[in-house]
Amino acid sequence: MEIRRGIAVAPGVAIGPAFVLGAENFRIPQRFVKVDAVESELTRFRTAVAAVCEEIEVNEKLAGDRLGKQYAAIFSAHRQMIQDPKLSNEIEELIRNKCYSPEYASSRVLRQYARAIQNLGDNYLAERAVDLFDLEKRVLKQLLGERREELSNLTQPVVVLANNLTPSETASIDTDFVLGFATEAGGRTSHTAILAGALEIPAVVAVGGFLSGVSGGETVIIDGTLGTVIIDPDEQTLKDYLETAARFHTVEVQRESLTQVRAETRDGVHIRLAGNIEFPEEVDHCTHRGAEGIGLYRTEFLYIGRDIPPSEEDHYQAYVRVVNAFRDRPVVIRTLDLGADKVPDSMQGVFEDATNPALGLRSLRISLQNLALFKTQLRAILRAAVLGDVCVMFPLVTSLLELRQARMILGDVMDDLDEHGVPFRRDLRVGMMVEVPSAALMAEEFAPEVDFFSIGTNDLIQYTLAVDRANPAVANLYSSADPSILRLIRMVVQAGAKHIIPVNVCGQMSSDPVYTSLLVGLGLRQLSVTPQAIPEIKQVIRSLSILQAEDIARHAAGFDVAREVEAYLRGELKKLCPDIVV
Amino acid sequence: MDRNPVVTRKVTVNLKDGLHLHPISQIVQVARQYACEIRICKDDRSADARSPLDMLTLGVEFGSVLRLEASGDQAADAVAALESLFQNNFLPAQS
Repeated sequence: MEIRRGIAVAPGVAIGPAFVLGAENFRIPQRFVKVDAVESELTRFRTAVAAVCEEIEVNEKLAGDRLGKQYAAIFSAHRQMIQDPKLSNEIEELIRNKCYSPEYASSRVLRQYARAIQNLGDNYLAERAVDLFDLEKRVLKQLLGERREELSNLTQPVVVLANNLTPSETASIDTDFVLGFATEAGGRTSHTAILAGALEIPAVVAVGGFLSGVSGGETVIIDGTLGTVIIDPDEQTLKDYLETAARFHTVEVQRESLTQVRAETRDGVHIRLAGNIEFPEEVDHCTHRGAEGIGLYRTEFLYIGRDIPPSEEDHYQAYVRVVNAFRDRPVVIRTLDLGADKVPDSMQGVFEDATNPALGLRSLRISLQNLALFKTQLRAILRAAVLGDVCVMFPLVTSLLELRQARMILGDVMDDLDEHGVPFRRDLRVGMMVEVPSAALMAEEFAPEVDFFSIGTNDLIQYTLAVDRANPAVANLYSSADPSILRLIRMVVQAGAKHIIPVNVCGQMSSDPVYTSLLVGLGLRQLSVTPQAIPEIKQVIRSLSILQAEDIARHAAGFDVAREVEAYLRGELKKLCPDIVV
Repeated sequence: MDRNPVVTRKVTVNLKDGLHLHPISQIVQVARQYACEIRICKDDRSADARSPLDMLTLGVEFGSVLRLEASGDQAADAVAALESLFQNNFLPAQS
């Protein structure tokens, strides 16, 4: 039995046979091939190169359409390199004359070039070695086959173990067969973790290197509540976990009974509980738990995992599905928030070029630089708004200028729709995410220019504390309970109250029952949470009075370090709802 | 042999980051339009203008002086086309 600890990202227990997905670093299975296989190996190599070219061409088109010509140029340079006659000659010679396997020969030659470039001494040029390593990876991936496709071809229930799962891989997980998953990399707020929550399968991330010890088929337990992965459990452990799994199910069923009751404090104050979703399919998770609308509809998945950017119709169809599920409840659609940790696979290269992606071209900044992309989405939102109570929300607003620009473009799109006689809703509410410290500090100035605020705690914490939430070396410094965060939230709530606009919290902080009383005490009357957290958060709200919550918030403000705040809040939660495990 | 004289031309690299991926990619695009042999020479080393990797490993920095060398059909045209790339500092002709 081997027990590994990681970060719990989606609660529950999964027990099943291990299914290991290949690591990112390809292992070359054999260095040599038989003499009589040389011709077929050469063919295999050429086929792989052709496939890489095709793959790069697709990326080139994608990057060109979405980000502009200069980004497409990176890929056209890559394509030329892989088609470099000198390169293929050298590789083919090694296969033909030395009977090297195509994998070994390609890796060797590309690495030789990479080394030669690294040795040039010139900094900028030396960095181009990265491009060659990228090509090596692409060629090896083709030669070794798309092993990862196996994930979509499962025939029996398994527990998936991987170095990392890309968001699109996670999204393609078939929940009939994937009982749970654990990854070596990742973080609490990585996109993969958010998705695991959305799919409602137990998951643990950031386990650290453990795959080399697993060959597949072993029984594995994933405890998505405690954050442990147990490989080859002994009989007693297995028995205990089977019982835990059964109990977990019972608690779930009990909480479901809360669906029909309102999220109201003991003294009768209604806290609007809405759901955060990523895919239209998730509206069902929300409705059957009694969500009062959608507080955050992330739209990145329309862009990720596809070869061409979504058309206006693609956007529209997705939005209509969600809006139709909530005709009389608000649905807040957030415009494109790509970049940083949410980069489509096909465009990794483009974003990696930025040395500091979290501070680079992402989110609203991409939209404002790619008006065609932005307007397509806005048109679809405005059209879908006819069908229900749709609000539009801009992410990562940093300055008033950006907000005004975004609003101006929204106005242009409205005029355009008007001119063409396309039905749309002119009076839809326009809000902004408060997730950059500058926006929180300037909340007073922003408030008169928007219809609502929504505090995105994930980024607000990352930017305020200067902690990359996905970097294991500093992830422990990331805390929702930091006094600076509490103070910023209070500022935003006060600005909202002064200008009479609603304030919502939609980051992961709002889905954590530890913070519910604090947030209510700080004055929030709306929370937007991951759908499966709705019953739990509702339970906390119903066991709380406003006075009590305000007391807790006041007390929490008295601590000067995050750890004390967190310990205090945990203690209070235990008193309020002893059966909630956190 | 006289029908295929070697055409050469000296150019100076005014690119801040040296001859990196984008300019190399443009050279390859131009070179591929001609049938003649084209080489980019720096000091005592030279690279095939159709091989981006070859040119990348030359390590051409800002201020380097290169010799463009072509022989064969349309050698003069090829060299002139490449020279204009350098003269325009690899900026696109339009916009």
